[in-house]
Amino acid sequence: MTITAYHKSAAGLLCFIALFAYSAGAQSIILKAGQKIDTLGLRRDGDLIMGKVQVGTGSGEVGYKAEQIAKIEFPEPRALKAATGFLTQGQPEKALAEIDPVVRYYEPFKEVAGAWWAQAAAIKVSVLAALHREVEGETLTNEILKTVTDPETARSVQLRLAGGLIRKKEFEKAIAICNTAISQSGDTSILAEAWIKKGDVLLAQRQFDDALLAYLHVPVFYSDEKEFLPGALLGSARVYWRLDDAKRATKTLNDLIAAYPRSVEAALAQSELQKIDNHK
Amino acid sequence: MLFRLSRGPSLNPVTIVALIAATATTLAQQSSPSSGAGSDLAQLYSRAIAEFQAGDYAKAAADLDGLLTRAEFSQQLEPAFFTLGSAYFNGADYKKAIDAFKKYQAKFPNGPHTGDATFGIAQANLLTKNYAEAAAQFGVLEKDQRYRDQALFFAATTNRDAGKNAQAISILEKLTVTGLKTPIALRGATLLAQLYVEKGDADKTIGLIKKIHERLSLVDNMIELNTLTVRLGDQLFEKNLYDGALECYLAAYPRELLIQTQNDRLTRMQQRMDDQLAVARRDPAQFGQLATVINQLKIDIARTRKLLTDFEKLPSITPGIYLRMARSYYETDHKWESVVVYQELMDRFPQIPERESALFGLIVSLAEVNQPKKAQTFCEQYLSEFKTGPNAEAVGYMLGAVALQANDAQTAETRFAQMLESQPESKLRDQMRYLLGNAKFMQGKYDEAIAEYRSYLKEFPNGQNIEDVKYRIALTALFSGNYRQAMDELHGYIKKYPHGHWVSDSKYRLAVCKYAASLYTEVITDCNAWENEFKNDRQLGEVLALRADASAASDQVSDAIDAYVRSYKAATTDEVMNYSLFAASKLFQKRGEWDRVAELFQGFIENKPDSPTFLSALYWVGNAKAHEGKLEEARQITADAIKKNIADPRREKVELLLTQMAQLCVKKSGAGHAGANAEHVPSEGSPTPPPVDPNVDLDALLGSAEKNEGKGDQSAIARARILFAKAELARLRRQPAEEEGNIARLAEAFKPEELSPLLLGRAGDNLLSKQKTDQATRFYQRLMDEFPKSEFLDFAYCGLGEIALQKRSLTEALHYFSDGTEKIHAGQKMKDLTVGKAKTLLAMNKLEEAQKAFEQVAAVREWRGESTAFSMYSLGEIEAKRGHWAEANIYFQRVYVAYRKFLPWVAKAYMRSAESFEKLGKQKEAANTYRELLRNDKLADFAEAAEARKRLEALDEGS
Repeated sequence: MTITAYHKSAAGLLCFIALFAYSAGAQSIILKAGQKIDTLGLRRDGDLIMGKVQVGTGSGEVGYKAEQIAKIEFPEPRALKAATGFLTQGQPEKALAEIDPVVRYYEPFKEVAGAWWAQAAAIKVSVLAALHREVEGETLTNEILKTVTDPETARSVQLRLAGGLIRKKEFEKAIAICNTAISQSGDTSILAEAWIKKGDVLLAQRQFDDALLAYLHVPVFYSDEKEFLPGALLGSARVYWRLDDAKRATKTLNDLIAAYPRSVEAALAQSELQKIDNHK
Repeated sequence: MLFRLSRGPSLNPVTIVALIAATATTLAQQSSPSSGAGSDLAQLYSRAIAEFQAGDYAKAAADLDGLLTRAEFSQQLEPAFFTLGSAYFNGADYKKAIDAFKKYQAKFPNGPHTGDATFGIAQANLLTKNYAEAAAQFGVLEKDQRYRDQALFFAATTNRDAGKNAQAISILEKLTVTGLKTPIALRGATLLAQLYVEKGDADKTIGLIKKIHERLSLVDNMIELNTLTVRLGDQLFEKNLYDGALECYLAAYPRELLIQTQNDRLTRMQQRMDDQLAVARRDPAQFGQLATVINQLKIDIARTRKLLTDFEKLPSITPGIYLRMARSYYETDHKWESVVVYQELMDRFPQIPERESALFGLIVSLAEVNQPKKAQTFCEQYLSEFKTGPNAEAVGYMLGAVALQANDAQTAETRFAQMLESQPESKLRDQMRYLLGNAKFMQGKYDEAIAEYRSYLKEFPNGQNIEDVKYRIALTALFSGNYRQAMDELHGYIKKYPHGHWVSDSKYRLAVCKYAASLYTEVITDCNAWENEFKNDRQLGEVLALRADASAASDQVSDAIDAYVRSYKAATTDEVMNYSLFAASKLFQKRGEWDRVAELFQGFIENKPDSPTFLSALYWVGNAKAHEGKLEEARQITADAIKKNIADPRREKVELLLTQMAQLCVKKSGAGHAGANAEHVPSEGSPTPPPVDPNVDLDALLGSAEKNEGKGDQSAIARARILFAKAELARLRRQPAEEEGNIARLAEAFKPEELSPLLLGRAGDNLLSKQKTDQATRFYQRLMDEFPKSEFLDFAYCGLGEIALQKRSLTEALHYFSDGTEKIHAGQKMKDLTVGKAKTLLAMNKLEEAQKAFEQVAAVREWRGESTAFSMYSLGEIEAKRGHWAEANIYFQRVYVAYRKFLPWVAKAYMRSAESFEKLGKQKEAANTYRELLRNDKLADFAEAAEARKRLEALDEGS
């Protein structure tokens, strides 16, 4: 452990405010030895993770090597939800503006359990995909996979890779990722996403019947996962149309537009409706 | 379960001590110092409280009663009076509880527990079934905000128990109308949902269930709610209110989630109780109110914990819920969803008692969503797992029926035959015997089909399909060409069933038999009679077409034309409509009456303006005008038709019109190279006009693509189509470089989203020929995604298959080629798709399948050419892979003997033929073959020539 004196200064105060903008609330270091250190803020200094601590009426810094730390208790950054929300509403630029600072803030702590880097970076991968910056997305995905230890996070990130694989027509790899998530995950949001991606792969392979069954898993079993319902509805409507069931396709698209009018999928649903109408 | 009243004593030691101290002081002060009675009373009170705390309510009540009899009345005794009522209540002596609470109210009309006492009286009345009084008292309490929700809830309970459901509903609606903000409001909502179900008010039930589930955070007893939700679902299901039932089942939690959630709730309840205790310790003044809450929580926790423990011992509820969900989806016409749920049941719960039902449900649902292959697989699984299961007979029947559904008559025949043998007592035997006949009929096994139908008549003389069978026997005879027998059978059917389902069709078929016998006059008479008898029958178009055919066959051309025209107008299918329309047109053409052809199609356009044949008709109007020599009129009609539709990429026939326009422009220019491709352009009777540049002419008629580029007055698709017309002009004028250049511009200057289906296909092909596979993919994919019903979809299947093959994604390639040949109508690309499929199968080393595919290509006369040479060569390759060198050599030799025009294959075939000889140890023949290759001057520059020379040298050295 390293202890340094902390001098109150304007610069120090600014640093403190900036730190808490993305990580409001206390940040506690839990050492592998069991000790818990409540800090007023953290920073990375080489191998050391430095925590600002109250010392009497003043403050100082304590430093620990990352391998000594079992976990850091960070409060969940609000930007995760905000960015996801923007993404769902088809505003990837705003989502990126929200999520980017979080990714940068947690970057120095990414290998430490409890840091929100992987989750934030995973969202950023989706944002980059929405912005068609897929190469950056893939680079970041691979970086995430190197650091995550939580299998659910790894699955979630890998699922984000599936979209790129579909575009590259690497269907077998994409299906394998989806199937692994489906058979191993206990997280309903991951399961919902996995079924949608599987539907996407099967649709791209023109296996319409199986694609439809995959998409329908979401409204049938994971209807609480609202974030994924628009994608599932859009996918199933597209398949209905391919299966010559224009009536059901139209109904599904109208349901989607009514229930999620601000979603990206609602805009796509409008053009799908137009397409169906054109073929009448 | 009713809420148990427990006022006064509490678990909070601090509060208890405070109360005891206050009351005990009062009691001690009541007596003179010498008597010692005060001290006794204080002790008695303390004892009563201890007994109450220990749950000995009878003793507590007795001591408190004794105490209050002996003690002089004082305001300080208020807690003792109230506690006495509580003790009687908790000891289930409701009559005395009522008396005690009433006494409390009389003595302390403004006491701190007046409301609690009223509440206790009301509850005691409810428990002793004094519903009227209970209802009245709850009615009073309802006005007090502190008791409102509880009062309403219990008032409703009172009315429900008294059989007054309407009043109970009204009260609960009052409780829930302001929102479900408290746990008691949630309980009220749950009770209300039950009452709605009993009343059969599905809409309100569903709405309420949704609201309850939106406020699940307020629900402590999740198991109870879950059970209720499922039960509500069952009640709705029984009443055929499937939408509501489904809402309930979807809202129900599966076992794992339920246990987890219930444990979370218990933790939360415990925390709440601890918090209340902490508050009570800090502020004894809140004792009365908090004691109620704490005690209720204690009871609820114990009850919920027990429910959870019991629940955990039970088998999982999830399969039961899923089964209900699947059935509800099925009943609400969400068959695909029911498949999803049944499949999940099968996959996740292989050992459950519901498996048989699930498997059967899955089969039925799959059959309903037209998934016969999958249904077939599960039928087999069912019969393997549940040979004598309750649905085994139905599944046995379905095994054949779904095969029929999949148009797999051969499998259907096998299955029905098996089932008839293995399930001799099946209730569906009648149906299976009938369908077995149909399966044979579908395969063209007419003799066997007739035999099967006759077996049916013998086995089921009163069977449910007897009429159909008799009709089908006649039909089978007709299809097998036994017209005499068919006529006898048809007459027999009509006689037996003069008003039968197939009478109109039988009479039509009789006419068909006569047509086959060239009895045209009779056919005409019969068709006329048919029309009189079945004026508005849907088959009229077909009958008129037959009548027209008979007239045409007997050279009554005008009569035939009239009948064809009436036929297309009466037709109910595009097939009959197009047949009759074009048959009439052909008769006019035969007579050279091009003006009548134009009239015919103009009449069609007026009659059927929404028909998909509309643009084809316009094409024919233009074509007819051209044949009439009215070239300008033809050009104008065609140009107008093009201009009206050119901006709509969905109008696929625009390209046909553009080709016609190009032909007309070439014709006008007198360029003279319309050649073989300009087959529809007639020779003109009028003198040849001065030559005009057809490109200029085309621009004048349609506008110039180049000039309009970047201008807003012409859409991208219009410009692209004009380029296509220019390419067609070039093709007709035999200017391949210009043709290719224009198509290349389509691919390079336009985005896929700007093009029509044919142009997407042509652009994709152009890019693919230049190995620009990624760009080509975009065009093909656009065609595939945006125009899935296009007649040019085969371009996409073929192109994407070829790209996948080039990238060695063989499974994907096979997928495209197979779907292209089997799932869509492949117009222009059938040959390429079949060759692609064959190449892919060979690359996958699926030799037998590849062989069949190449044989198919080689056998089609219309495909004769390079693809035949390639197929022959590939068949040789297949034999070579098998090590059958002699057989391989025959194919290679056929290539260089019979297909000499296709030099690359000839060169390769020579080499492989020589190699085959070498493998067979025939060195001399091998050398001769190499020499023969080298003697062919046309092959001198081929790499194979150099290779042949090397091989020849090697053979010479070896000899």
